[in-house]
Amino acid sequence: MQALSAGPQIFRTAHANNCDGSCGLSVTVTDGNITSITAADFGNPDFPARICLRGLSQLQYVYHPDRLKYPLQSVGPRGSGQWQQISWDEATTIIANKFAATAQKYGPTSVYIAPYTGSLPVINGLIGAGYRFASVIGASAGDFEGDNEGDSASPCGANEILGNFDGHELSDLRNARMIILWGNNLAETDIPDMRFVLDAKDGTITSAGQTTPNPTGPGAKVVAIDPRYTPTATLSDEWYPIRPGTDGALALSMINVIINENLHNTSYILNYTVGPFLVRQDTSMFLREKDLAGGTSTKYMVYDTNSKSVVPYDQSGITPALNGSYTAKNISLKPAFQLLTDLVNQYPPSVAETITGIAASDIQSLAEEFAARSPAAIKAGFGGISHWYYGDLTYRAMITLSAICGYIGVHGGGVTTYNGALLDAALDLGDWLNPDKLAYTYLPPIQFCTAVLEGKPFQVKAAWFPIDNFVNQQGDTNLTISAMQALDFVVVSDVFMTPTAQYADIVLPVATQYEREDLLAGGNYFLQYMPKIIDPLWESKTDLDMFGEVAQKMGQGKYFDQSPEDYLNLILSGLPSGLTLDTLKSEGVVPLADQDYGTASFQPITHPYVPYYKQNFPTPSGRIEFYAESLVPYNMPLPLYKEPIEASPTNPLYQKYPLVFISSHTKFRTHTQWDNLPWLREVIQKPFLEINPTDAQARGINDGDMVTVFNDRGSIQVVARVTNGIKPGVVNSYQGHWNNGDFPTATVNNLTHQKINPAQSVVFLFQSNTAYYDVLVDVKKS
Amino acid sequence: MASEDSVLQSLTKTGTAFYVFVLALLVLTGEFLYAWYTQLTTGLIVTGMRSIYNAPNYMAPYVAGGSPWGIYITNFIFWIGISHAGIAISASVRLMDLKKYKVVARMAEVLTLVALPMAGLSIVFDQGRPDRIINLLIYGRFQSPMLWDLTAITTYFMGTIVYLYLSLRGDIDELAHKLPRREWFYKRLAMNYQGTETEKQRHNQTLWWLALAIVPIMVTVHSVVSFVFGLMIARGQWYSTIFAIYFVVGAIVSGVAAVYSLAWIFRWLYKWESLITDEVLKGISWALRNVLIIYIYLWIAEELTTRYMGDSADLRVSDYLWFGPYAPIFWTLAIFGFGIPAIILLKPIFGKRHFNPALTFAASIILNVALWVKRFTIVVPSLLNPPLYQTGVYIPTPTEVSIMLGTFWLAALLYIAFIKLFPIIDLDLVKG
Amino acid sequence: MKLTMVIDLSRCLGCWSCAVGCKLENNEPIGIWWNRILTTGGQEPDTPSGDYPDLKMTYLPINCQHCDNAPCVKVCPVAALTKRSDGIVFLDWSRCIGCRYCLVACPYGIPAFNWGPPVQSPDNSQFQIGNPAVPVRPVGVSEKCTFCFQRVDVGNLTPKCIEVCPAGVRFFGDLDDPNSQVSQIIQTKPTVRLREELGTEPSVYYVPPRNPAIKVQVT
Repeated sequence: MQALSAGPQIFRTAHANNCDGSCGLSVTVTDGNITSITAADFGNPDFPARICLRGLSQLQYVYHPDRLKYPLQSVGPRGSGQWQQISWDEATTIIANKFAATAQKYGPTSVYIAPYTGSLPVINGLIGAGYRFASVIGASAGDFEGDNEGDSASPCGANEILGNFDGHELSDLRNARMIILWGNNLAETDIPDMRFVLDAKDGTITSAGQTTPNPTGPGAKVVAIDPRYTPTATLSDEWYPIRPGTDGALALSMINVIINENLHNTSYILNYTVGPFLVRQDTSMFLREKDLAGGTSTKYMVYDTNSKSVVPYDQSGITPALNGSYTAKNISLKPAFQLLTDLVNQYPPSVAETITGIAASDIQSLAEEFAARSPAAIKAGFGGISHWYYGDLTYRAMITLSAICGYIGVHGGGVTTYNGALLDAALDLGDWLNPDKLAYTYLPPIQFCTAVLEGKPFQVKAAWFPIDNFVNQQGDTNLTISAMQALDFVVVSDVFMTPTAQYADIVLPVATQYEREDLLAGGNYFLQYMPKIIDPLWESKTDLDMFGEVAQKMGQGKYFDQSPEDYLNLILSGLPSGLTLDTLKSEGVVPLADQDYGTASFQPITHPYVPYYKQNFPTPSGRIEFYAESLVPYNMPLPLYKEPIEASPTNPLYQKYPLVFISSHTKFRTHTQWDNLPWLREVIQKPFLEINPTDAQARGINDGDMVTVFNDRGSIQVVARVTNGIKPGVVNSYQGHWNNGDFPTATVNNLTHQKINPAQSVVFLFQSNTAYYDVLVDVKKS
Repeated sequence: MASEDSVLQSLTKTGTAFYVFVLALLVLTGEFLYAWYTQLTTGLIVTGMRSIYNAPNYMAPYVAGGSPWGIYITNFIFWIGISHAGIAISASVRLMDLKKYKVVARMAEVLTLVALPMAGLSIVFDQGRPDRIINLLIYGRFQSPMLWDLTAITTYFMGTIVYLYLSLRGDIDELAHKLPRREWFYKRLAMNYQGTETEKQRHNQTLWWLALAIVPIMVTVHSVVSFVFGLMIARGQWYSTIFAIYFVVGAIVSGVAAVYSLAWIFRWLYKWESLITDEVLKGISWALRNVLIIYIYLWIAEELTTRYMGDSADLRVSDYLWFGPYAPIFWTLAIFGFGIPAIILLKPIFGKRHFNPALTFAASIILNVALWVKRFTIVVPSLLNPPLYQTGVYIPTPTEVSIMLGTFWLAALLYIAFIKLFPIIDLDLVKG
Repeated sequence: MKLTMVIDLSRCLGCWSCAVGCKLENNEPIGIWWNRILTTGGQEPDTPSGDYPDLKMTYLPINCQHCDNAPCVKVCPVAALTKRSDGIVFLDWSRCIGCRYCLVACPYGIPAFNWGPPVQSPDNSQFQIGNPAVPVRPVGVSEKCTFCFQRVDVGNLTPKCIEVCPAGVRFFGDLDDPNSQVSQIIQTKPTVRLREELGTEPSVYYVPPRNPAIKVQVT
């Protein structure tokens, strides 16, 4: 952090909104006002400074005339927009009393605290003060990955096959020879990391105004798989417009081609996957040594082709089989790899062509190239892959595809959705989130409505939504609103009067990230210090302060009586190499991948960071479990392909609603944030529905017409954008729009649902996926 | 033969109709001033003009932009065109010794004198910073066609005002005797005019040379106006070698038609059939017809050049006019705006009895309206169809129209002021 | 010195970051953009041309081309527009009379005009945003990209748009210096300039886009 002697001062901070960019921001302050912003350096030549249009618009966010200034109390029916200003003291007293009363009547877990991803830093954000508060008052809380954004299915799948959810540092893409951007529109959703894809394609290393050839970069072929012709697709070498939700079938078919053409990496499969482990055909569980020999050994068993017998996997000098059928003690056995082969043989390219709409010859060549261009990386999107009911199956199939080619844990390979996920694990958050071992009760956000309306798994009667535009973003808005109306008491703390805040009894004004001290760990492999740059505007307060005040009035003030610095020191104390807050402050940004700052569970040993570099997988077997026992009760130990739960032609509902409705992410917002920033609004202008000319003509719709998109759950009214850039049979409207005077019913979640996939409960922290894209609609002219 | 008193009617007689007419003009002028005030305090945003790339406004349809020039510039070209009235007649009269038309010479010169300031006023309306107009004089750069305009128009104006004064001087002196109540005014204005033969001789000689000098200035004026557009490589259908002569001929059509209109109006108003005879009117309409034919010929040449093998930028603008949103305007203009006057003007070829002064008057009015619209179709469609961007939209606002019309009300008031002070026909023609 | 800009269309994402950065640096009011991103494709922004699935779309960031033979410089009646010796075509906002001839003459449709009183966001009533060396422009004057003269004049050859581009698309420097980044790109890659046939000699060079291979699908 540098300060000039006179005139403007420059502060380094990080952009800690819900974006994987996590850019460093260099903020200029003149006379106590933020007057400019630009990209801040990371002190690393391979990871250039980065920023995008959203970071550059932040002044309009901080100084927006609509910012909440004072605490407000609702004086009319919920949602009526009638407010009166009250003092902080009054507000926190009311909240404390109401929470205490609710807890008394219905039990402490009837109070639900829902911090979410609107803000990502450790104190005032996603893993922050809200959870600490929930823990000390014994409330229930949503978990940061059990999110209402459809970002659970992929992590769930990753956990099932690899044991956790992690990703490559994205600068590693420069080491790939092929990159598949699968259901991922990086060019809009993670703009600064698109640089690495382009550098990989061009064989360059670029930074602001500079380009040099990359001496070690092999140059990559870039492939986009997406039903839309996105900016990402237009920069790729090939574009495959897939039927939405059928990505699993494509992955299985590619595995089919690779196995049948003998292009798979046999030794990798033998050594690092459960491929050779024998599976009992009667129980579908792995054969254990004790099943044959008695005793207690739970060692996995393989079939040794040398001795032609079933032996423990770790016996020396054996050559385990990957294929075949065997019997031992009258138990029918098959190696897991054989079961995988049997599965993928149901999906030759000709079958996958019918399912996905991609030509068989294209699937064939794509698979062959994927195997040949070693290493090949898969960058998957939360949107395209995880926003589906069976997203975990799809993600497992994709990881399996990468694994059989030996691309897991190597530079230039892997399957990455989010990078920096484990950075939080590097920090010891236990004492921060669970002081004195007090713990909140986890309630997956997708179960919130049921908890409120039906009392299952337990009754929820009061809620506080910090950092969460829940009403706008949860699936099935009508259901969500009915749950909000059924609550006894609602608190919303936010920067603006969001659609969620409209349903509150008390609204509290929040200080933006520039008005408080914090630390960002996530989005990339750097710890970024976030100083307090300006004083909070109006009467806004930080999360830490407001939760502290309420906790104080509920008798738990001792857990909030320290300063942000104290808590940051607490959080950093978990790092074994003793990175201190002072060092972090003076450096501004510290790379984790280079230094030995990791905890036992996070061992970055290579740069750029590559997970599983040592081929250690935190699964029960310690290997890549493309066959997972935990899913046997749900009949899907293998990554099966299943048609989407709703958005499928096999669904009878399809006769009524023949269009698949997806709600992707626009570059002009970060989810719902920045919807009201003038510069960004100038360009995006209005909410619209992308529709193919074939579908539009059939409905008499012309470009620019107002249309109604509808299904049994609700409807929206937006402007039609007729474009050839979307697959026929699919329509898209960008999520995150706030209803306003000109477009009062345009929130896409009027159309989505809250269907829960019970199979995903096998991973405790990732069972709350919302399948936003798994939706059918029809469209008519308004 | 009409008498001097007849000619002096305009100075001596003031009926109710006159007062009503002037009152109406003053009311309209008031409205114009208010509209202009709004524009001066708020900016040009009160008009319908917008930049070539106009940032999409939130919730507005995606429009690439608008036209940065609109009816003010059109109005400027129009008034410059009208200003060709004066010298067209004066030149004919003096240089070619066509005494027949002396009777309409002065009304034409006054028209020029009123038209040129109206053109200048139109430009002032169009500036974003009229308070910085002085910069044109301090920093004016001669590489710019606009500076050529400024120079040529100023020179033309100076020349015409001197010309008018010199030819008016004798009448002013006369009026000093005839209207004793205003003697103090006319005496001063006459500036010691003696009325001797030598003086008259000198006047006539000066006027002859002045007329000769003003002719090339007239040609230059509308040529430089055309160069503002014709030298622009960027715009479709503007970059054309014949723009100068195209505009000059168009201006002559404008001017001559305006003279005919005025001549007919005064003849009708003051019953001057014996002064402004059918022969005179026929002569003017004969000249009008000839220049109109030349103008239509040049127009056809322009259209053919574009449509035959024109480049995409030109064709895009032409399509916009021929088949696009402006097609109704364009074809109405061609068929009714020019076609009907052409037919009316061509009819007298087939015998003298076919000349109908009233009908020709209608033709002259239609022609000037048509020429106003014609210049609009030159200025705006090209700006609405910029290469690299989508087609824009331009709709003049009521405020903008009020301001533009202000030039017409002011012109009328100025003209009426003149005919109230000076004879509109040279008194030499009615002296015994 | 011959200041030149290179924009690599084979990499441009159409993200508008350069445009927004410029808007911030120069405190541009609502409705005015010195730097815009055009979509070369369908009628609407971010839509492709062609019939599904044979599609094509590229982005074209466009700002003042700082032509050597600038039509705007020629037509400005008060010489508010001048070509500097370093190549920047500079518009003196204090002299402009608002005649908009530069808007009309520019083949690229670049100059923007303050039709009404400028409204900045955040508004300038409390403080000015962006670079304080850039004056606030009043109503009735034109404005356009200056190649960040305020940075060039203090020796910083990195305009804001180059500084903030997240994808390695934009480059800037002195074409007279054979070792500069722009010289190297122009020497090694084929580049084009916009509407070159008009003879304006723009100072902005574009690396052409690459067309992706299209996968024709069956169903």
